[in-house]
Amino acid sequence: MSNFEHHIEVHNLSTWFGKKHILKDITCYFKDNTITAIMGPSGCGKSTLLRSLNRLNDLVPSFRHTGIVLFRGEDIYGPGFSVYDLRTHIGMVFQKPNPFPMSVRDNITYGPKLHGTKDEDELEKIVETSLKKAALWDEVKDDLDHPAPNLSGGQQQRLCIARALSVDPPVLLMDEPVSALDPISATKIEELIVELKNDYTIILVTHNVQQAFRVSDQSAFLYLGELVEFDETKRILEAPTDSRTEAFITGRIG
Amino acid sequence: MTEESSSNPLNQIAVKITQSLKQFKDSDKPGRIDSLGRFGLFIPALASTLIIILILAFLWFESVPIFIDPVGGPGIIVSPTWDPNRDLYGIGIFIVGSLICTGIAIGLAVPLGIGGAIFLSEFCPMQLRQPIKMIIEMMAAIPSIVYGLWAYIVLVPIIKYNIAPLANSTTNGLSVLAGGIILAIMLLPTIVTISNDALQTVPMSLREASLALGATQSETSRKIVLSAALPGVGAAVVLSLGRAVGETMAVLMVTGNSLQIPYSLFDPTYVMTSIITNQLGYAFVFPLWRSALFAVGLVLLIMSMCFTITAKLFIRWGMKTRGYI
Amino acid sequence: MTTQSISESPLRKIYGRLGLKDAVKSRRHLSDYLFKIILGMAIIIIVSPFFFVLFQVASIGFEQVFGTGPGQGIEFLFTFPGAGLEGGIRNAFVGTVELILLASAVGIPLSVFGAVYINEYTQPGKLRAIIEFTSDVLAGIPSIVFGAFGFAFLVDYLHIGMGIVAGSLTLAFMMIPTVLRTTQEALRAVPMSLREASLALGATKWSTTWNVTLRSAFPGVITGILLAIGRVMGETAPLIFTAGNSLSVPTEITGPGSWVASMPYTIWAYISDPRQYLQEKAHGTALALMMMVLAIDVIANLISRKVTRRLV
Repeated sequence: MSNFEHHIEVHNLSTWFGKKHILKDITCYFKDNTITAIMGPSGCGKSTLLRSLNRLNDLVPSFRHTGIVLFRGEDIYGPGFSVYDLRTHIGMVFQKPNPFPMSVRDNITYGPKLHGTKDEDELEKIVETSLKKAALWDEVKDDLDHPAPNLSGGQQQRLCIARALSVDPPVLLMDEPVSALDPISATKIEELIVELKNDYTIILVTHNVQQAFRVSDQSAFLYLGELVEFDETKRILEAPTDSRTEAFITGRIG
Repeated sequence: MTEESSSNPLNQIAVKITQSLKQFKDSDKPGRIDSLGRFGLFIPALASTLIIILILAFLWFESVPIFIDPVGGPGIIVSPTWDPNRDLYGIGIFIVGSLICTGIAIGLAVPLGIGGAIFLSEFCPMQLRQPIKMIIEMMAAIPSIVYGLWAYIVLVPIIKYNIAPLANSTTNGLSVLAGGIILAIMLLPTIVTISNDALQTVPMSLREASLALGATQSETSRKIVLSAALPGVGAAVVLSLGRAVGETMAVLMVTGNSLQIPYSLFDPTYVMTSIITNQLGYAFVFPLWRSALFAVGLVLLIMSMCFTITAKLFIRWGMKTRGYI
Repeated sequence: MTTQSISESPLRKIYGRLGLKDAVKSRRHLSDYLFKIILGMAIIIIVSPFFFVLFQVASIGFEQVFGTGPGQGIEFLFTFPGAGLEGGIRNAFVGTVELILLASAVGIPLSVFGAVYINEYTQPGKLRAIIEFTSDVLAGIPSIVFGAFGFAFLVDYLHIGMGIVAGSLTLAFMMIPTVLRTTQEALRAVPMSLREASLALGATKWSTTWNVTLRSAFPGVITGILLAIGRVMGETAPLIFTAGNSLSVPTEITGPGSWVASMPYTIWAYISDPRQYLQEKAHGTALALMMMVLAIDVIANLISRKVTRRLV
């Protein structure tokens, strides 16, 4: 198990919320420095799969699982594994922009401060690089002390991306990051995601086939908790092998 | 309506009245009921405003004599000697007593109450949350005289026999400490309930964002949830300050009511609410004495108004710096 | 795959419950664990006085309120105090009920009508802000200030004199902010579409307000009223200089015949008396008062919980 190939591998993962069986025996891996799209109609378990990867499902008391998720070859649900270290290494961007109700600067420095960065200059540098990576620096560099919730929706979401980048995680989870935004902001963030691919392993949940086609390298198609197809995006979209995938791509289900 | 008449506020009101009277005459029966009802409801709506004005006016006029009399004057607010038999009406001692008791109570109740609210909102097992909330709401409903009875019968002896000897001091138990503790117990339900409500309004997504950055649950609750809910929590603290200063019966029964500045936790004291309760009954035939007691009431009233206003301003400030409004 | 079997074992589950397994992983895990433990202890400290108070009052007062001897049980509430203040507390019990009824008769209409006016007939603006602000200020005023005001204004200035009228009016003033604000909240929760539906049927604003809006806000309004009653029922300070005290029930509207006792005042008067049986009576009165107030509180909560459930 120690000579792992990829940052994240999922083996035979099944999950339940109470009695409800959400994910059914999922096995997949996420290639480094690529964008993997998780597609599927709403309610198929896309978000649950994503949240299993950084153990955010643990917040729900009735959550149960079997199977294993490996991060760099270690079982993240294993007894000796620190969930806080895990989440430091796996960043997450949510569907709705959720900046903390504090200044732009404090939003970015929150993560690094938690993990022991105290030096003001270093923090300042982190703020600048994170915001630059998220293509937000030019817009907010003069208002770093303004409350973050005053930014526009698209800016807020880019701030959330910058916040996730602030602790420099190798993996980024994105849960439909543009679905709550207007088309112009959405395009901007899509471009940004493609750019980030060079430095990060990105796992993107989307129910938008076009978006998956535009940005992702490989795709997983989930339907009612089952992993129907898992391959290169181009292959899946051009020649789906399963009738359910085809139905989803052509818009008959979803 | 001419330029002239519209500029004069009195004329404006007159025009408004004649207009509505005309409207009233022109309308049909349901329409008339409507406008009559509207007027009939307007009067009760002003009741609270009217009562505030009356309270302010009466306390002011009742306390004017002591403020203008040569034996009194505005200096009584800082003067520490209260002896109506010798025409000494310093009420400073009561203000100090109230502030000390309030300080002890707040010092005990605020950390405890906010901690309890965080536990209730963030970490409490689901099955326990509702029962605990219910008990705390019941605690808020218990009359202050009942708390006073318990403190007088149980707490005061405990302080006398168990706590004071620990500090090598002797006391009869009637002390600022007893007042502070019973006040803290009475403030806790307010602080916990309001703070808990404020913490619950913080969206789940903020907690998730913090946890996803690798924060522990306790770090999230302190640095994100508490910080996001700070306007509400701060308002809870300020409002409870007001309640502490104005609390009457329980404090009256356990602080000893002795005209001295307390130098230790075990010394008795005399608070503002107690002096009014104890002496207004005898004093009302002596104009200056009575007036001085109303001056204490006026100070209390102004303090409570300040606390209410501060709480409101604090909420506004907090919402602004957090970008909520 | 050993990891898998451990993650499912019951032992792991118990460890997970207690969080002990996690607590030893690192310093941050440990401090997280300790933080939760400390907060849990805080909540225990917070709720324990409730049981201390209940125990103290019930341990002595139970005999009075539920006993079967002479002057105990139901007789405790319904016999007048006899010579040397022995006997029951009918004067205080009836006095409290009468004070509350009179105060409600004045305070509830004033505050409910006021809330209806500002919520249904005004736009958000200066007038509404002023009324809301003043009722918030009123809610924060210490009860002894209400007592002093009632004394200066009602008893002295208006020459009503001490007695049931001045006492209950003072309590009515104290009820206004609570009832006004809760009624307002309840009215605000009524969806606009309900009013529009009624108006669209040709109903007047007046009948819409009474038959539709206020009716659907009713549970919330009742809760507010009950909370306010529960609060003023236990007030002592406002009554000391306005209601007087009496060993019987008021027989007149003004003058010494209208003086009235109340349960909180009776507790205060008896507890500082060295006579043993008066201390016991004080505990009995406190137990009875506490039961009344808590019963009202529980009913209020039941009704308001129903409201929230229905709205969700």
